[in-house]
Amino acid sequence: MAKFDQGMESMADTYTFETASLLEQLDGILMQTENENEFGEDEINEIFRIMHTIKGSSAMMGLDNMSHLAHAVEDMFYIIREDKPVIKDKRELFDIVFNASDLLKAELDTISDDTPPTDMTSAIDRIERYAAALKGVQKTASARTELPLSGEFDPQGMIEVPDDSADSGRMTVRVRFEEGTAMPTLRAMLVVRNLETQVTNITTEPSDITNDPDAEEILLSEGLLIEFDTPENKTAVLNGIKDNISVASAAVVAKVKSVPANTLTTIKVTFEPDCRMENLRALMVVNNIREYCEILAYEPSDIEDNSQSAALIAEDGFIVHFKARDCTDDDILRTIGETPSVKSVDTIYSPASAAAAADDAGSAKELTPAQANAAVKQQSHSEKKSSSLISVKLSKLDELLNMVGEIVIAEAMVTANPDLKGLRLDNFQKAARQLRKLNSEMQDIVMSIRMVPISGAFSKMTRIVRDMRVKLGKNAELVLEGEDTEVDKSIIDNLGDPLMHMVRNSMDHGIEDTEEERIAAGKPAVGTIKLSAYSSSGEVVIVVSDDGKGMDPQKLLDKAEKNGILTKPRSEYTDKEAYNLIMLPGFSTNETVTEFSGRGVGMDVVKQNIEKMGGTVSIDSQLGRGTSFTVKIPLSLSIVEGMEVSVGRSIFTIPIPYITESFKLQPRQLLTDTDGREMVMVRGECYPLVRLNEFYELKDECCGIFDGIIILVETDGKKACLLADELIGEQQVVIKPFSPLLAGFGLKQYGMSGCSILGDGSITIILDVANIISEI
Amino acid sequence: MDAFEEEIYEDIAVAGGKVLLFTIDDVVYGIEIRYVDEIIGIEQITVVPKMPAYIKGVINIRGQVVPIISVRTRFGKEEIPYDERTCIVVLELDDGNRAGIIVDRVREVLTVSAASVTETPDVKSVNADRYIKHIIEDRDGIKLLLDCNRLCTER
Repeated sequence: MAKFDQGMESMADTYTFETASLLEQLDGILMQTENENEFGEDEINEIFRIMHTIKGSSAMMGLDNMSHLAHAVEDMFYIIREDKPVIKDKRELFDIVFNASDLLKAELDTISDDTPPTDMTSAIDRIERYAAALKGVQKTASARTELPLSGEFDPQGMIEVPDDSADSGRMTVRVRFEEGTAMPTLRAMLVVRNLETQVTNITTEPSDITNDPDAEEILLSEGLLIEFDTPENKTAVLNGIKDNISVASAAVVAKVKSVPANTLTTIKVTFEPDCRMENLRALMVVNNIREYCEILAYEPSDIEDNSQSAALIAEDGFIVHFKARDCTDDDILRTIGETPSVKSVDTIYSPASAAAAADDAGSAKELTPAQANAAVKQQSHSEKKSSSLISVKLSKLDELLNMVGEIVIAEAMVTANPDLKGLRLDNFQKAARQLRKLNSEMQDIVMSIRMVPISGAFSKMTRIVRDMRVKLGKNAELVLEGEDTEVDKSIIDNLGDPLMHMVRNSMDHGIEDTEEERIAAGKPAVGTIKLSAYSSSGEVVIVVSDDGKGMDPQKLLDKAEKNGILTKPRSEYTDKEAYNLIMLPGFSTNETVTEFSGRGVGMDVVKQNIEKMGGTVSIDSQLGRGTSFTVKIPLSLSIVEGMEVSVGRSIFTIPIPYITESFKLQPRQLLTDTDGREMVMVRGECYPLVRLNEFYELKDECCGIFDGIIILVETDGKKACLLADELIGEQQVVIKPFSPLLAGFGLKQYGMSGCSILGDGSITIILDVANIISEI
Repeated sequence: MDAFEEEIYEDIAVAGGKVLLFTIDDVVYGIEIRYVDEIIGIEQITVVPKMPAYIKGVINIRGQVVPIISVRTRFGKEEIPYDERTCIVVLELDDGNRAGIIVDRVREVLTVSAASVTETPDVKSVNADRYIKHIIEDRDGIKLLLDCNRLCTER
């Protein structure tokens, strides 16, 4: 039995996805504000909005604990937003919010499980205590009435009223007092006095509250009209006014009536059917375009509070009237179109096209062709934008990719069919070429669908560094590079754990324990952990490096010897091999086990996970200078353009991107160095020669070195010559990973990255040039 | 029924007590039929370099690349050329991976009763014995029931 209410199963996926992305957004804001140690107005509003949404949707799902926690955080930020308490030490505040975010995330991961809901009362208590303490330090404590619970706090559409953005700092508010209020003039004075601390240039109506004999009556019947300049968030000011004693309501006075309706553009926004919570989605639309609009109004106007409006919007659409500021209507339509779940945006009335239509007296109701064209374009544009934002189950994409792989094999089976050998079939070849071209385009598209920027995996690391910085008391900053690099979605999913272990390792073991230590070593006091990513010849390379202590190969060997995990005499270990020891299971250099590392699991997980993705990890270190982990993962996991070569009875495939050239060897090009290793001289440069049959210890009969073919390969600037018997041809192959039963035998190490099935059903082994070169 | 018998009973009962018998030299071995996917004749095996001797390579079974293990080599016996009776028994292991084992010849499917099963002698030092799960004894003699998961996955 899942934790959420019965009947909500259909919503669970959407809910999880949306809440998770909101929480991620929250973490991002928190990280940023923590660095600046300052909450800006925007950030507070954003956090407030996130918590408000989570609260609402959690309550809808029947997840009361999550809803209450979000509510508590929302309340706290309400106080921060309204009262602007001076918080000297923000650390606890950040801790509280991070903690809340973690709790929500953890609960979110398990909402479909059959476990009782997590008890969050202690966290809620902590937040409420902190919030109470915040309230204690607020500036205007005396003038406040009971703090309204933010859940019920009623914005009355105030910020949505068109006047809002008319001239930036100026606003007019009508304050109404509760019926039967005694001494309204005094109340009005209080309101004005409280306002004086926040705003400037106050004028009121009636203007002379204390001396005007009619003031009392006017105040009771018409209310108090205040006009002022505010540097602060208008909502905050407005809420400040409402908090005054006896104030029944305060609302920004609408100036919209002074704006002729025909100067506004009116559009209708339609949401995806079944997207649910239409009112919140509409609010997102409004929030997205607000800053671009001089005048903005919408129907229904009570979208934030009235969940009934969702049904209304679903049925009739969401009507927005606006006048753009500093941009064209098209820009705004586009922005709306980019909002998630928006299905289409239709212009109902536009002053520009109306004017044009009026000009064109001949066809009053028809738009000019150009405009009609533009309108159609605009509409199709926004439709395209919105439909580009569908979310698809990854398993479906996997299926699609597999299917494309099968089609590529099937294509090879047809076009390279042994029955066709020796036949001259011009038309067939033409059709086959066309098929191949289409297939390869299809592959490109399918691959590109699955590509996502690596920043998702990277940004999680900032959080880890932050947590460890706090817990370990080490000062280090995380530098990200190349986070736009695109990799396959499955890589991102599997990269999280290894990255986390590497970053933790760098933070825990790499960076020096104290700043003094670092300064003594002539390094900046603050350590740096760098995460960088780039793609190079079909691989994505991810480097995690720190400028810390570095590793001592001798110490590693001592430790490994003690743990009994050395496999050959100690003296035979190179430095690089010694570094690699830390990735063996059961190796941990830290004397004490910390919360983060030292249990001897971790780095071996890194190696396993990366190898599972067909990648490699290598470690480099300089004592006293730092350590770097280099992870290389094949960029696209499945289809490569390959050159097939035969060696004896075996067929190997060398990915084309690695191949520089191929040629027959002349006797004068061959030389042997002092160790007896063969080298090939090409245009004045020497490259090591790898006889594939010897390298792979194949027993088959092979041609001699001068009869076979030499393939010059290059990767990462290193080159080598491979000797094979014959070039068979070029073919697209679908990489199939080796069976897990074979995975433990060092296939990767010997440069075999996978296998593939050829057109005739035989199997070819795909070579990984980088590993062959590093093996020689 | 003691604990041991219960275990056998469960082992055997899952496949209705059916065991596929095959021979290497003159020794009869068995494999629980629930692990057996299909039996195919020997075909072209693609050599995968740098593998232990008992891993003969991989074959293509309807688009799937399946590793092939020679039981003969695994048990440290001398290699003999394949003939028309040599077979590959394709297995699906507990972890879902597929593997083929090369056997001299496939004999029959035997229905085994729990009573005919005896405990393995506790001599795990002998190479081949490590892979023996139970010993089946009936009128025709002794059959060794193999633990095909260990046979295929253990290094």
